[in-house]
Amino acid sequence: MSLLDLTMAAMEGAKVTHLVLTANGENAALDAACRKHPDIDVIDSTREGEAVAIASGLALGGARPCLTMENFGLFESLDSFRSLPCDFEIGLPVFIGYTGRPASGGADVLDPILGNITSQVVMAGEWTEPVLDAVGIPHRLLAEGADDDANRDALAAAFAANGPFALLLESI
Amino acid sequence: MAPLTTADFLDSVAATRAPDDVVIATMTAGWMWHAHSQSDHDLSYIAPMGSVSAFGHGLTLARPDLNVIVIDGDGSILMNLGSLVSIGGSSSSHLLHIVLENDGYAITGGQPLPGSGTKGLVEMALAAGYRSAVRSADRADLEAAFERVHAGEGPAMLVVPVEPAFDGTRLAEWTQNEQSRRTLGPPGYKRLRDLLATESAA
Repeated sequence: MSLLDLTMAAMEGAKVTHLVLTANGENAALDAACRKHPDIDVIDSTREGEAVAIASGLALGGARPCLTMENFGLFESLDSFRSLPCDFEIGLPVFIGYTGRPASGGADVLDPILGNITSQVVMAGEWTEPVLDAVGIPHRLLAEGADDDANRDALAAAFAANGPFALLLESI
Repeated sequence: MAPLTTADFLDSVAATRAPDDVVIATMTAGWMWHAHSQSDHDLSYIAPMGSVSAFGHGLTLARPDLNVIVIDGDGSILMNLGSLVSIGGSSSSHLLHIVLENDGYAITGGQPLPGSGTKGLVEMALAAGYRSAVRSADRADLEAAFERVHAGEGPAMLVVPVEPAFDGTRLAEWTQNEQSRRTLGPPGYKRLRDLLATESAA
């Protein structure tokens, strides 16, 4: 089963109502699938901290939101995470594009337009998991081609959490 | 335009709001709101700066039947100007966005806003898609803003010049009372979330 299909099944099982999105490339297929889904509204935002606040307001009104963002944006949004879903204990799965993931082998990052952007993304990759650990946001890796049960477990943990839960992925 | 005191303005909001209007206050107003309102439909929180407009926007998306009033600060909204575009382009027709304009960061000691502050905020909101935006300290304009939002003619903005004074020595008085224990921060969030769910199910 593809990672996208597993993810959509998990979202449907959790009765997700909204995907709050800040622009990112890694979650493009998830974004497209949610925009076609009859029961999920995609809410666009201008920055990640704003997206966290929108999702927190949605949850106040009884909705079941998820977020998508880049790991660059994760760093921007930490104060919003701290003050809203962490402090208020709002269950909030967050799909985070894992640019520069250290375990991806250290190969150069080649963008089809910009060329070699390795130096711009290595630090983002190196910071991602330590930053999440430092602020106490649990996280799991979602990987296309990985064992379906591992991906299902990660998704189940995120949708069962009583706070924000990061799902790190290089693409979906 | 003579500025009001924040206390006088909050009294006017408390007198104008309908009983089931949800009022979410932050920053200066967030500290003070408990001393001016005893409603079950209140919520106050202080951080992160700039988030209350987006937070209220999210609530209106989940519950388009509710009238949602957010009381923001001028320094605060400058930290999240992008939310004007998100709100202005949305269907949040029952959202009233009030901005208290005191020309500084009152609760951190009165540091000035950069540049012209929020003097152009009305024009920005209208350009972003708010259906109305007014800068006024008149009670009649406050009442008109509530009427528009109750009629589903939002999102609406009201920028209210207020005196910059902030008396931090009164923090304990504002926050150590029964209403603040019910409506401030995480307990306030959970209580209001459960109340809205109960009312929706009834």
